Amino acid sequence: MTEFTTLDLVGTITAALLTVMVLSYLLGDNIFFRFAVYLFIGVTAGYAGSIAWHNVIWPGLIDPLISQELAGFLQPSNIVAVIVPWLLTILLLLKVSPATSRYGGLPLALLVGVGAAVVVGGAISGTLIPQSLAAMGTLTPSTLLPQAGEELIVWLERIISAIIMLLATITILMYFRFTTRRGVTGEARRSKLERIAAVIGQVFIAITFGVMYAGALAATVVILIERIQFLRDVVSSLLTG
Amino acid sequence: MADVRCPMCSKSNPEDAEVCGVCGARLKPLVIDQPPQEQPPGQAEEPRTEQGAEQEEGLDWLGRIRTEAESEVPDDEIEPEETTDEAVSPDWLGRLREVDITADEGPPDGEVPDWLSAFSEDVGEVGEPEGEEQEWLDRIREKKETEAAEGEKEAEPVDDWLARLREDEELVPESLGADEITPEEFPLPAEIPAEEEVEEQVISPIEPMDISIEPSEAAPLEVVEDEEAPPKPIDVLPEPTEVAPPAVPSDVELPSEVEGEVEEVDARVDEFETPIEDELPHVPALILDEEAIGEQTPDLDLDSIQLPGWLNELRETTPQEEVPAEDVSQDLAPATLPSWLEAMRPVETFRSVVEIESMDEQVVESAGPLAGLQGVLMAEPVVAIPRSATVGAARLEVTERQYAQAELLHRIVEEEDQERPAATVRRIRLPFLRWVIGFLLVIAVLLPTVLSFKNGEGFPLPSYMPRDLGTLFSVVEEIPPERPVLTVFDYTPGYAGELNTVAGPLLEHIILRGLKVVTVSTQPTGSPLAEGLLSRVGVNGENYVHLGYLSGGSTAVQLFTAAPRETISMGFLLPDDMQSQSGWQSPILQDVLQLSDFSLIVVITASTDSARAWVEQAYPWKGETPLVMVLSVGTEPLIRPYYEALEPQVDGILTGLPAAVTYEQYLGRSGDALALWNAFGAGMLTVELILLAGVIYGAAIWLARPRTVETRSEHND
Amino acid sequence: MWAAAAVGSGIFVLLGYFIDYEIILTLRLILMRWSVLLAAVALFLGLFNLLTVHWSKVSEQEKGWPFSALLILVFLVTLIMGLVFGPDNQISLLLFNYIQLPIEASLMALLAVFLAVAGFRLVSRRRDPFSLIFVVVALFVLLGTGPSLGASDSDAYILLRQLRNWIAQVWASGGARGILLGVALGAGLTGLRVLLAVDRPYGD
Repeated sequence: MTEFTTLDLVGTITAALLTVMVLSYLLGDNIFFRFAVYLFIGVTAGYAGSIAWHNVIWPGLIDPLISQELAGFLQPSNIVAVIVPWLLTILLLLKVSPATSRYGGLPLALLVGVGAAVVVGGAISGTLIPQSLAAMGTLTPSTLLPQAGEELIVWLERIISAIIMLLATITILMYFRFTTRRGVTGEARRSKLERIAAVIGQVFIAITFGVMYAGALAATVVILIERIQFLRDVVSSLLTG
Repeated sequence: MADVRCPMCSKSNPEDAEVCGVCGARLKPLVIDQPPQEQPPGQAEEPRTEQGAEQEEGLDWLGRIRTEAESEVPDDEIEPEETTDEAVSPDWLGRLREVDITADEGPPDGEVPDWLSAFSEDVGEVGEPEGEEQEWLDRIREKKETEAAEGEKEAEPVDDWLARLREDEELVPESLGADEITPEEFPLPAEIPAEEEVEEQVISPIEPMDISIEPSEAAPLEVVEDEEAPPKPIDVLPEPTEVAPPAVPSDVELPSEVEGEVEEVDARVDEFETPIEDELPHVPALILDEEAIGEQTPDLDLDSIQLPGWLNELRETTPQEEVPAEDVSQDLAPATLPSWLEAMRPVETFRSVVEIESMDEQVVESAGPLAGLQGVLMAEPVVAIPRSATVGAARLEVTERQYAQAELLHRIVEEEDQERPAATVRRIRLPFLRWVIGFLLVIAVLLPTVLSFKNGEGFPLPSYMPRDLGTLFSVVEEIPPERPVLTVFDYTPGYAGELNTVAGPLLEHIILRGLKVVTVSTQPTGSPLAEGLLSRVGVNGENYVHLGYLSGGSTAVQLFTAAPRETISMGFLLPDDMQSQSGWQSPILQDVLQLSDFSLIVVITASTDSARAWVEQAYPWKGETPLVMVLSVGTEPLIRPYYEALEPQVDGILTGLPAAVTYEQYLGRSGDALALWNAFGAGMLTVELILLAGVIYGAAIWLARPRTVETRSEHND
Repeated sequence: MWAAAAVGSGIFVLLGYFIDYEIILTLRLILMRWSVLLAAVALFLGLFNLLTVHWSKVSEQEKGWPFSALLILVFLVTLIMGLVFGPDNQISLLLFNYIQLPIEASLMALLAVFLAVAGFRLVSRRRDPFSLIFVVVALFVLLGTGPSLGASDSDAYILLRQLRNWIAQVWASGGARGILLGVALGAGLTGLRVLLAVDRPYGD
């Protein structure tokens, strides 16, 4: 236990020093900051590799190979679960050398194909359809009609909010539409309605990004506070012994 | 009977045809035994030009000389030449003469050199030699007559003398390239061509140029006047040569009435002082007459010939090299060059060396305009054989290195045209603004922590529960306690300061309700972060268990939501009694087979992509299980549409420190959120003031500039 | 041939979203399992590339090579410790808790200062209406997010909070929905281009 405490103490002091070294970047780029950053990259990369090995590669590739008996090696389930993944892994590892990198195209193609399908399927079923339905349902009669016991001001607020949300959705989508017709003089020109809608869409984009910026600022202030308090605790601990 | 294809037009012809019926090209090479009358129909049909007639008549004197020389060839020294269908030496001479009949290869009409034109006026039809020319021709004639009187020679094949010459020498140069020829060995050109001879002298462009006759074996030319036969140019060589040419069988018999004219020509030849080689090409005339082929061709005895004075001068000036007859290894007898010509000789190192093959080795050309000639440079390897374009000849194969080098060169050339801006002196700009704002922020967040505000002091705490928090609170309160809660830790250690603070009250609420927590993460650092947060409120193995890391982003989320047990087989920091086992072996997960078996899904993330991936992928598989999200304040606006929908895909959102403080207040517990509240207030106030100052500063600049421009424009007016 | 593999695997996975057929679902799971494995192997390839890049910097003694040497040393120590003893062993957790976590948190804390500096300069450098709207909205949201200067139940503070919520939950939410739809359309089109072999990031 004492050893663990000592380790914790050493670790805490190390963490405090590293925090100061990183925060010294406020004064300008310096050798301490770069030292801390390189140390961070090394630890992060090494830890990520060890996590990937223990949680994915060992149970998925190595352990099935070791635990499998030779007799049952060529069973269809093992072919699917062990042999094919090994073959794909070897092909992917051939990407290291430029001479053999072209053989790594198959596992990459598998990765890309499956990833693209997951993204497309999720975008369609998880965002496009539900959000489109939500936008269409904003001004449904059930939404627009006042609910029982609802005050007028609240009902009006709800109506106006629904209209604003719908207007924001439509104008932003119109702003992102960059296909236009060519005018008489030959230059690309939007119609007046499109231009007005695009300007309104830009306003909503500015509002949305303003809210996101405020949120990010608030979040980083909290993180800064946490770091400053950590340093305060370390200093106070060292001072009090 | 097999057809013969014409080498020129590739048309089929009968086997026995001599010439092609379409284009007139010769199908069979000329042979020695071929009578001169049997000319190719094409050639025979060609009209003899007036100039050609003049040439023939003018060369009678040369023919007489030749015949005289041929008549002196001893019988036993002349051997029949082996002739083949691909005829050897005399044939080409005969062919040359036949070709020359119609070829206008001499000087064009009207462009006769002055000396020759003067000569021709005196000669008339046949070019009467005058003066010295007549004298030396007469001398030659006389000598021949005396020699002929000494012994009559049997009719021998024209090539007897030629064969005799061939015996003595190894190589008989007939064409260029057969033997090595040096300029000093090169025979002098036909120095005194008669008028008729000049035009006929350039017989053929392929006529061998290295013809020489050994003086010992050369028979005096026997000029035979023959009116009918075409005249032959005299192959007069002032110097003895090593190798005798196969030609010069003088078979031209000049008619008697022309003999006198020839004598005039002889006399006139003597007049010429200037070397002819300056004006005319050195093309020894070697025209075979068919009739004379059967006659012996006596060797020309140059010593017996009384040459004109100017020829004697040339002989004196040039060194006479005695080439032994037995030295057959040498190529040609060195020619006597005048001193001025000797001086013009190129440097030895640059002297071209041409090897001439022997007559036996020389191939007779069988196709083209040179058909039948021997010793012709083979054109097939260079010209005749068409080469097909190699595959991809038009495609330029460029290696990567070459391409890179070409790009580099192109870039360098382009840079030459570009103006390089003047190097600006780099000024070191100190980040004063960053220092000031950083100092203000650090002081703002440090002061409350240093001052240690007591409860109730400092910034006022939130006094009402936000609408979102109320919804979340009720969701957590309503979940059944027998099923575990799946908590996804999808944030990096950088956001641990905020999200640990915000998610802490929620997890504490869950554990306080007796719910078990199962953690999973798509980040490698998610599991240790989960351990750090949950270890404060629970015990590993009892209150929570870590399933570990999901590799693959959205694909891993989809796989986990579709088949959770088949996706993760290991765990992280499992209890001691579960070492080397899977996290699914934990009693917490014994009843969980699919995603919908969890009572609640909590996603803690600071990334919009991660939140969206869990919403999109888990929504079809979660069933009735509520999905709540703990988000960073900056991520919340983009996830709120999923929460604000008529059929929300997210059932609860917890974001921001104020919500966490409110949550802690409703739980009645003092956590990290409350500890950060005052510093958070000070920090937020500082940031608001900074932004406000920025807006005022920007507005001031904006308002100030237009006035400055207007003031300047007013002054200018 | 690689395009056929990408298209084939992608079609099977995509069909599983809409067709509830056992063979398709089974094949879909197999393909995704292989993909998850290969993603972990690809992570190792990335780590190997990181190692080679910095190794070349050290061997050629380029500028900053001592830092690269430090990176390689720390990387190998962390990786070997994790491979031998596991990522949940005490030493690995110490490395994570006392090196990676504080450094990364400090880097994020720096962001607060830089975001504040950027906000201060925004209006002075980009004087257009949208920049002004951006900053004014951010100011309102911050005012509504932070603690009240006076009493938390004061009318002003309540009005301020309601204004903040209205802006964030209505105006920004509507805009976010439009952005989400646009992002989903773009992601879907990009994925379809890959599934139709128009884009081939894996090579020919």
